[in-house]
This record gives sequence, C-alpha cells and structure tokens, in this order.
Amino acid sequence: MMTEPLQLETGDFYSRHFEKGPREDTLILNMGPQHPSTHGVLRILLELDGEYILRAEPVLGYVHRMHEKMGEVKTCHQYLMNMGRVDYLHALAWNWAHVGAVEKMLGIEVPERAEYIRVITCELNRISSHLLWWGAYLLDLGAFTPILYAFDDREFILDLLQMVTGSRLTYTYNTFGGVVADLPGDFLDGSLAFAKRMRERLPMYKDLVTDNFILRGRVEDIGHIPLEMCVRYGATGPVVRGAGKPYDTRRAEPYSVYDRFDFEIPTSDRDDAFGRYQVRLAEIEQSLRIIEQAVTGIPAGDFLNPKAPKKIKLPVGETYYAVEGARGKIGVYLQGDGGPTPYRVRLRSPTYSNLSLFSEVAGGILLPDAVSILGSLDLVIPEIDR
Amino acid sequence: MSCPRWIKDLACQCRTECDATTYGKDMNLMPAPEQLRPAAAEFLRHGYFLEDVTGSDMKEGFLILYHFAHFDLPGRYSLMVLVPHEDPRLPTIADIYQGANWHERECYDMYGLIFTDHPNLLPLLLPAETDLHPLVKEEKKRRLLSSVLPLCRFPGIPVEKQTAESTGEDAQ
Repeated sequence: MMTEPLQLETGDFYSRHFEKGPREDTLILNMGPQHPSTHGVLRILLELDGEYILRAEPVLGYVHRMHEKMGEVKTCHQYLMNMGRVDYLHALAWNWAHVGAVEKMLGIEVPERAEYIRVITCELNRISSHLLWWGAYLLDLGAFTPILYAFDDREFILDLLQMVTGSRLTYTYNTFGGVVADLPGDFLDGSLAFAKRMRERLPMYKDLVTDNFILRGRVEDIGHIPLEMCVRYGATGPVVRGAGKPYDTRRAEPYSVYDRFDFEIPTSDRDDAFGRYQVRLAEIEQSLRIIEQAVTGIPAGDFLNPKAPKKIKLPVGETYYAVEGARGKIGVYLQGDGGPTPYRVRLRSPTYSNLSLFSEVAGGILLPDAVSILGSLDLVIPEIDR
Repeated sequence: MSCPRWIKDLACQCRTECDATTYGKDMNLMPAPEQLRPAAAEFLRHGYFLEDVTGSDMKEGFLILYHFAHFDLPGRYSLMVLVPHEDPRLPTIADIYQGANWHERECYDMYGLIFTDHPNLLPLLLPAETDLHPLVKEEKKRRLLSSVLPLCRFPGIPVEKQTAESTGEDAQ
C-alpha cells in the first residue's frame, strides 16, 4: 500500500497540489503538454478511474509571453504587432480590438472605406480560423482527410489576405484611423470568387463529415455546457451560441459598420459538442454573406484617416472595447495617463474563460470524450496564456 | 442608456456614471472589500456574466477591476476595489462566479494579490518557483488614481488632478 507522504513528495508543483483523492484505485495522468489533441502547449492533470475522469485541472503558462507587460512598455504603434501573435488564427480581430480601443479613447474617426475593408478582412480571417478548427478538431477525433480539404480552402483565404496584408498568419493590418494599405485591384473579385467556391464546398463538408455517423457518435450528447454555466464562467462565442443564446458582440455591442449588413447569429439548442460544431459551420456561411454584402457595398475614399495622429498618446482615462473573435468576445481594456505608453493594457481572451469551465464539464466523462470537448471549445493556447 | 434600478441601489462607497462612447462602460462602482461579494452575488442573480477580473497598480494601492456584461441587456459595469500595497488582501468571488477562479489566480501571479478563501490560489501563468509579480510597478512609476482614472472615487482619496509638484516625476 502506498503511503500518502511518499506521493506528496513525488511529482512537481502541480501534481503535489493535485493530490489523489481518498480512493486508492485511481490514477493521476498528465494529458499534455505533448499530447496531440492539446496542440502542444496545454497540459491537463487528470485523476482517472479506469477510463473515466474523476477530476481534471488544466495547467497553463507554457506559451505565456506577458503581452500585458509589453503593452505598458511599448508605444501603441509598437504594440500593435503583438496583437497578431496573441491569437494567430484570428489575428485581425485582435488587431481590431486594440486599434478600436485606442480610436475610442482618442476619438479618431475611421473612414467608411476602411471600416468595410476591416469587415471583409476580419470575416475572411474568421472563416480561415473556423476552417482550421474544423480540420484540427476532426484530426483530434481520428479523421485525417477533412483537414486536407480544409487547408485546401484555407489556402485561398491566406492568398487573399497575403495580397492585402503582406503576411499569411500573424497579420498587422489595421492601424489607428484605418488600415495600412488600400486593397489591391483583384482582391474584391477574389473575395467574391472565394465566397462562391466556399458555398459550393459546404454541402460537401456536410456530406463528408457532418452527416457521418462515426462523427455523430463522438460529438452528440458529449460535453453539455448549459447557458447557466456560460454565465458563471463568462463563456462567449460559439460556446454560448451553442447553448442557445444568440449573443454576438457584433450585434450586442455594435461596432464599425456591422449594423448595415444582413446576417443571422446561428445558435443551437443542443448545448453539446455537436451544437458548437454546427454553430461554427453555420458561421462560415454567415461570414460569407457579410463578405458578399461588404464587397458589393464598399465605397470609394480614404483607407486611412489623413488626420489620424502619427504619434499616439493615450489621454487620462480608461476604455473597454470589445469585438467578436472566432472564439468569442475579445476585449481590450486600456488605461492612459497622458504618457507615450499606456498605463495599463488588459487583454480579455475568450478562450481563457471558455477553457476554465472544462474542470466542471470533465467530471465523470470518458477520457476520449475529453478530447472531443477540448476540441469543441476551439482552443488557441497562445491566446489563453497571452 | 438607463442603468437598471438595482445597480443604482447596490451598496458601495461611491459610484460614477461613465460615457459609454469613450469609456466603453456605463458605470463604475467602488465597493469596499467587504461589499464586493454581495455586489457580485447581485450581478449573478440578475444574469450578468463576468468578463474579466484585472488589476492596476496605483500610488494609493492595487486597484482590482471586475467587468460585468449581460447576454441580453446592453451595458457594461465595473466594480473597482482598492487594497493597500502593504496588505493586498480581498475576498474571493470564485465561489459566486466560478470563472473568477482563474482570473484571480492570474491577479495573484501578476500583482501578488491574496484572495482570501480562494479554493486553489496557485500560480497559473507564471512558473511556480518564482515570486515575481511582473505588473507591479516601481514606486516612481506609480500614478495617483486621480491622474489616471478621474472617474474613480474612493473615500479619503483626493480627486484633484496630479500636479508636477505632488509627484516630482513630471518635473524631471
């Protein structure tokens, strides 16, 4: 029989604090940081009874880079490039959140054309993020083929965004008062062509994957996250929409020109992993609708407010600005003291709150279902750790 | 936008309304540390969710901010609690809003704040072996509340704007 003190002396800081429960027939298991379904940088401490999880505790910090401290020592322009690194899958939404917060504080006006450009690029980026999630999630569940299809389609978006921003992943395109460069000539036509192609591909996605009964077995009735739990944990994005609440920052706190577009907020009453899956796929369709409307309605004019200040000095005060990212509500909170750098920068990352409910959901489920639940939360660990 | 009646009636030391077009929120409420838990419970009772918990290092002490928003109603409200640097303790709300658990651990990482009765106050983002609190500012870089957050009022703290003489820093 193992003695208690021996167990406490072995292991590291976290496993010492994650003591075994009163039962003797349980096993402490580390899932990650090298487990493929945790995508490299998340570790989850599990106490297992056979294949059933008794307790789970995520351990974070493997890609913590202290972005908030960097925000205090860099000027706003210097800090802008950090944003694409916080969440590299939806970099343009983070760009937008920071730029929007500064614009709000200083009262910088954004030309209408720039708003449309931001909408088109942000929605394209949202689709590319959802496509990568779709492929990677199915890879986690053991289906290899879908990620090849997803990357095929995503490639078109990367090419389009490369034309505009110059980069393929960590974009820094929005700037205070607009965007850094106007759209190249064939971008708008390319966006429409992509929207057409993507619409033709979505029925194939449905036939190939969504209607597949093996997938259904892995996602249906797995990981129920009811609305009441979303409130207690502050979960947003597809997690809360998958619980039946049409909450989307683009509608709840309207920003930019989103109020001009006709789009729906997909929801699902299932509140399980399949509900969140359906919401994300439906969001791809809605983003395509927004892109098509924005491309048709984009006005001519400046892409950057010529009066926008070249040097940003935040005035005394505070502001909170939120945008809807692919994973939920992205918030940037700024405090200024009139100096060249912000006094405080706070980044509210949606997946941080979304993952924090995992411990509660994971009690009593099967270990393979944990993989399904983690994937259905669409985790981007660099965004959680910041 | 009109603020719900119950928020106006919430027990706290001070409250100031903000202009949402520049502040992005509708009201700052400044409860005393012992008024924090009842206030948070009241927000939960009315269906508000916790966006985040964060801090800011001020000359007068650590300012801890709680942002609340609602899935159906517009508006953002923030609770602000001030604790002294020498004894940075305040009650946890992790049993009311379970989502606060990680946010409070992060504040413990960044500022060394002690949330009393927190179920699991361990470092979250920083290595366990360090006692580094990266967001704590050097004494000369700290600013007075009134020179960063003019809409933030606490009893006994003057609201005049900071002058060069009072800090000795701007004069450099």
